[in-house]
Amino acid sequence: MNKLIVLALLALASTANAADRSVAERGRKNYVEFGCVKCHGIAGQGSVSGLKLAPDVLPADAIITFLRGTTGPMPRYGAEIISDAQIIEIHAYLESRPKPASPDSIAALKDIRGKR
Amino acid sequence: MIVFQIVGDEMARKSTVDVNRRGFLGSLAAASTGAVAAAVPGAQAADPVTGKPAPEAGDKPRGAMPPSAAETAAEFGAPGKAVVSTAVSCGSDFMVDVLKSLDIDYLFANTASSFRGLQESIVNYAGNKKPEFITCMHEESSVGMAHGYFKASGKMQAMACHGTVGLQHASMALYNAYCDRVPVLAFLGNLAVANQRANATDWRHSAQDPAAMVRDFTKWDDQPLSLQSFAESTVRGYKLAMTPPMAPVALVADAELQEMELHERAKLVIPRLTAMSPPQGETGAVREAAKLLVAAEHPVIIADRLARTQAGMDRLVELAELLNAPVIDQATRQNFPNTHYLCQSANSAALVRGADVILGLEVTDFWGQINQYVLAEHGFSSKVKGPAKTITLGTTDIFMKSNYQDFQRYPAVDISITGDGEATLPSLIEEVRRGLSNDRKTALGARADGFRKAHAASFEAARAAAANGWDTSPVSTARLCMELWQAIKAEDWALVSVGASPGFVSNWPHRLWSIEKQYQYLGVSSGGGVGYGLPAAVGAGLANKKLGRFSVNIQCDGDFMYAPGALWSAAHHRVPLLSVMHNNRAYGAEAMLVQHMANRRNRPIKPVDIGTVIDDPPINYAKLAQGMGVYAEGPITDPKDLAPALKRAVAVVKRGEPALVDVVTQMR
Repeated sequence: MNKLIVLALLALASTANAADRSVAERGRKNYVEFGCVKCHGIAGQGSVSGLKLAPDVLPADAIITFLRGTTGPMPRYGAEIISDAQIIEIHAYLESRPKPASPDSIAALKDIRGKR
Repeated sequence: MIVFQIVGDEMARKSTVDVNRRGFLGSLAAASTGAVAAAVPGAQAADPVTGKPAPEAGDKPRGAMPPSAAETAAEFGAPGKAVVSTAVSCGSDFMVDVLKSLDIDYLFANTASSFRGLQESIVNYAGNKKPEFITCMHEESSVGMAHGYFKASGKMQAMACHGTVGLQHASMALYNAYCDRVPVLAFLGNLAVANQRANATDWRHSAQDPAAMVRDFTKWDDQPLSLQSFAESTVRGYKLAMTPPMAPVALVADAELQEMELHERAKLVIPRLTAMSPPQGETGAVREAAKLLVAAEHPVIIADRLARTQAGMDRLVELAELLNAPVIDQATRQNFPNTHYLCQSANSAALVRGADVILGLEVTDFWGQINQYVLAEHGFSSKVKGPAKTITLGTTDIFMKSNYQDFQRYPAVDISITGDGEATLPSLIEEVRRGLSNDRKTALGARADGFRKAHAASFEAARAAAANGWDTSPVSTARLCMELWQAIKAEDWALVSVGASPGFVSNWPHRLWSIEKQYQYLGVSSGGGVGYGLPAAVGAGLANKKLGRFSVNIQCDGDFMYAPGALWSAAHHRVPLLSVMHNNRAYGAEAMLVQHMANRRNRPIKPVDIGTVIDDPPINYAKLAQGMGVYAEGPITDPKDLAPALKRAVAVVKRGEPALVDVVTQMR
């Protein structure tokens, strides 16, 4: 009996994970198609043209509020351009990104301080 | 020595002085039909177009059929009388002497009929040395190479082009050089005397005033009509161009002067070039500026095109350390070592906001340093929080043109010191030193700790940011730059070009490399004219070859396609240059800007990529490079393949050849 419950829970979890992956996949597609990738990078790492978005992703509500009302350098994304649901999918994609490695674990970023 | 001996009845007037161009062109036409070969004992008729020896008897014909008489007449005019050279000097030999007197190493040019006399003199009279003819595939590249060569070496070089069609090609690159305060000696081939124009092409390739089209963005131009005045104008032009503020000059090299016989060379005098002395700031103004800087609690130094030499960087370090003042380097030159704790470019916004004295050194757009455009308000606001005293030191006020608006918005500053920044720094340092009491020195010294911490924090933040997205594909610009740094850092390297802005790769070299010498970073085009990167890198690579430095070029894809032929020039002239493609398959800045417009107008985003992406079909830059005889690898999409490819390419460059690694990258 206990085995059956465990199996059922695992199956549910697996279904839920697959659903999460699907949402994140759609989010990735939106992220590219709506042009977020241009300034923020494919990992949400940011660039001179756009802030870092991941890791430490803002809550989805905060992103929606910001996109609807921004008047700064970041262009406004109205509901006519992208829906709340699509933004939530983008949020799921950013949340799904793995944590970046420590720079000390990357050969090309280690021991580069020089005279600093 | 060349003497033209006129063969034929019409022109047998025994004038050895007035052998005109029409006669010479006639001889070319005759040569194409074999007449000249018969007229010159022992001479081998040359192909009139390529100048290569004609095939000897028994040689198999190569390629195309020779032109018909009608075709030849259309190109060169009707066959005339053969003119035979038997040896004296000619005008263009003297022109070469003038270039030699100025120690010009190279003449960058795409060959053209209007300066063929000069080209022949360089090759035969000068033995292709001082100057050496560098074969360029576009006039824009010719200027771009001279531009890059100067920034790497501090030596102005020459370029030549048709005064009409060639200059139209070259003009954008001259504008870049003008905006970048870089001298270039541009020779414009022309045929002023109308009745010497042999055919329709000669007419199309002549102008009354060839330099007119670039007068708005050259420092000076002239159309000398005698060899003596050519010498004086060239020496004058050299001096003007090399005196700060530096800029290109344009000199017409008249074809008639080039091709005329020269019998009395001894009567011509090449004026001695007097050593240039850059203008220095007035002592009183320098003293007032020093007083403000010494008294300031939050001084900020902004350096734009300041350091022309290593001495400029060294003096700026001296000034900054005396004051313990942060330096914001605008990255148009390497003005300050980025490993120094007072290099605070990463914190520029906060520093300017809190500044009480701001010193701008050779800053073209000082107004833009202290004001900012606010999109939401469609207006401007001050970047500075409180009242700040402002000082400018530079040569902007000495030289300004009206039409092109490179001079930027007018800054109403408190002290404006007109003089060359690098030349004036020693007296400013001396005045600061004089004004510093021991107590004040101690007080200023207390600032150091805060700046050391801020510098270290910026560096660590950048290192962490670089790790984010490290393994992604397309390759992140951080990984592109840092794998490249690993590959070259053991060399005596110089980053000779990085597209229109180091921002195109999110400033990673300036954030994480150790850039400690003035020559290790050469800045940008400054005019924003696309097509600068590759030619400038090749020119700088040529200079660095002599200086024993390893040249590296981060090459943007859109820029590459403007002037890909520069890569052939690099291969042909064995220029050791590592080019690493930042191949984001787009015109990145415009891709963002057009999307911003769609955002602002609440219109669909997806179709706005039309016209800004270069992905269908994707361009294979490695194949392009290989086709021009350059070692190349790529396109690299898996970031793990990057380091080994760079290692192999570095080995090729160290052998003295160009190499290219094509890397498919993210936008910024």
